[in-house]
Amino acid sequence: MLDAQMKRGLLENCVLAALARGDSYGYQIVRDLSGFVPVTESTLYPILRRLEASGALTVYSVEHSGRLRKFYHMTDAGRRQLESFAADWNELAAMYEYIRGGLDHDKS
Amino acid sequence: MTKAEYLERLRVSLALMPPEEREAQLAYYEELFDDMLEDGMSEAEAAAHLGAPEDVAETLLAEIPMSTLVKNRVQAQGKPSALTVVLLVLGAPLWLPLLLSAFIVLLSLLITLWALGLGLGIVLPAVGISLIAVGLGTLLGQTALPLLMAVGGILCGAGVLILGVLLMGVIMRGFTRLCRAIWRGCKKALLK
Repeated sequence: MLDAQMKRGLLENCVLAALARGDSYGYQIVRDLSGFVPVTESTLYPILRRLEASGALTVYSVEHSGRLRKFYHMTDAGRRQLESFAADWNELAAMYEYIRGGLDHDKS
Repeated sequence: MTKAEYLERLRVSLALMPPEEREAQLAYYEELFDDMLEDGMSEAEAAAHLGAPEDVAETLLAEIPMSTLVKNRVQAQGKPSALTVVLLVLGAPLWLPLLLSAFIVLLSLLITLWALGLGLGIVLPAVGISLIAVGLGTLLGQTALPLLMAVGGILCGAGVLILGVLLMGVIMRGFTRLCRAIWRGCKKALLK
């Protein structure tokens, strides 16, 4: 199981990555992420709130078959956060290689 | 479970949330519900997919700082107004000694009652016993006192002895009850 803090950061960036493909709404985001990311409707909500609070996304309502649907839009700040996360990932990938190497060495 | 039932149960489970936050979350879940219905699910299927509203509420409440939840609970119970607090603090030199003296008066009253009961309970049997002793002494020692007086003394002594023991029992029992009643009253007043 992933460390809670790490998982939270990963999930936030996955949600941003989903929005990088275009504005979307709650149910659609969960559907897009399912299969790649362990996220449910209930865990998505706090992530959206955090991203909104930090200015990474904005919310607007669109009328849809007689009701309102909330759409989430990634801001420029959100894009920068996603880019810097992807850049950090190179560093993480190097660490991962080192960890992997240690495990392989231990086996032989 | 229908959509209305689901949202109502969620609303109840989120009672400790700040109201704006709660409404925002209920709106989010209502939208999800509608989207799932549009997707071809039944209301029961949608409810099952989301999971029990109490579990959902737990996930959402975990994100809210404890201090906020406690504050909301205190407010829900009726927060004392600033004026009440100021009056209580400023009035402390007045109400504190009054409360304290009332407490002391009550306590001394209880002790007096108790002592009275104990005293009567000891004195009456003692008188009874000495009367019996004098009577017996008279009978055995053949002193100057007439026989009738000796027998009367013994009977009187026995009567007083029994009366004393009974009186002590009644007073002690009443005292225990009184103390318990006062204790309960204080507790009730505090819990209000």
